[in-house]
Amino acid sequence: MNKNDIKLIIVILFFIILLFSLTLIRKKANIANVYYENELILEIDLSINKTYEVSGDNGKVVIEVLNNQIRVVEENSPYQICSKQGFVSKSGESIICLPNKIIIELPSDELDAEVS
Amino acid sequence: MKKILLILLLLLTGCSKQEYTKNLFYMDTVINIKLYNVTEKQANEAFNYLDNMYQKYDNLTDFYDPNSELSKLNNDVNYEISSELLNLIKIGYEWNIKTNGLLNINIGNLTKIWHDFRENPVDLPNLEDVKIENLKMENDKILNDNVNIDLGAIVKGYVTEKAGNYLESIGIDYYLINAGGNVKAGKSNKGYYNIGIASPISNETFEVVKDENISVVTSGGYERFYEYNGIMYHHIIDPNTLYPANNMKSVTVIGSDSGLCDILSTTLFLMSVDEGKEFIKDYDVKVIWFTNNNKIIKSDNYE
Repeated sequence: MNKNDIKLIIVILFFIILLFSLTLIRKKANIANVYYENELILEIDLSINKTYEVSGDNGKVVIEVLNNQIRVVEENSPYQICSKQGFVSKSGESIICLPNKIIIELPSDELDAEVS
Repeated sequence: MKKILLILLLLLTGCSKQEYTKNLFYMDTVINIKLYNVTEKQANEAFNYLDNMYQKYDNLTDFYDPNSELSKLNNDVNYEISSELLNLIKIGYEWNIKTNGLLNINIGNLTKIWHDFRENPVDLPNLEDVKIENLKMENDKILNDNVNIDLGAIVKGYVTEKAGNYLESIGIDYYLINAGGNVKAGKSNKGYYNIGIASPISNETFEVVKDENISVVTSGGYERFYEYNGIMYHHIIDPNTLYPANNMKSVTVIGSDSGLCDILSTTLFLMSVDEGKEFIKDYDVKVIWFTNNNKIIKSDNYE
């Protein structure tokens, strides 16, 4: 084993630790993950009041964060189901804008799935 | 040493076993599939297969797609259908008999009227001319002169059960499928999954099912209600009254077979709580009703 090998091992170990810590951070309940289909397009900090805009299949979807809650305020869809749903704030909850294929998920350590 | 490092790297990237998630968009819902303790290759293979499977059944049974096999059958009862579609229709036929006509897949004309009303809720629909006919079958043949079949009450649970069985057949025992409130869970690394049941009157979870190798299906729930002149209407239609059922706010069925749970949840939604309690005695399932008075009632076998 020469010096380069040891360096390589250290680099690999660093990445392992980084990956683990990243997955741990994501489990915190005070964030929302926004997906388009299967792609994570936005990680939102629910402690900051702010409006975000993402694009779905039917155009823009406007997401608002207010007092640790999150909702969809504007979207282009026939039934407006995801904007009618209103605010969600608890981990495990989600907002699904089906025609736009936008999914807003509040990650949960406690719930693995929800039926409604 | 280089070889060892190379192997280590390979283990970390391509071959490491971990969790993989995929969202599929079929049957007017999101199907979220989580696979655990699998390699990326195994996960991609399984996701591919399941994508094709959900798509196939969506294409077969889409009531509102004029090119689906189901629509062709609804246009011409003599149209030659695939064995897959026939199987689904046979299940609907058998349950129509078991429930004395309460679960009726041959009410597509009626579900379409209410569907159109939801799209454009101006006047309550006129239902005077609506005629309901039970399906008649003999030796895998439909005997009715014409049919109007809507498989919405059956297909999601049926395909999700098939999806779970497929995963187990290829050695993936640790999985969780959520097909728009139709949950099928395999084994869990921690020994159970926490499956929340959402309250139909708020965004809260009012009950958590803690189990593995289990299916949980809810009918009702706030997501599928709509309001007209202050009255809440649901998308599940009672073939006797021709109106959306309003016996309860939601009902959840917990059992091993996702297909059975899906059918039972619709059936129980069309019955009173007392009738439902009697009806489920023949089945190995647990049930939670959320009544119109916001009471939570559990079946006697619920602990």
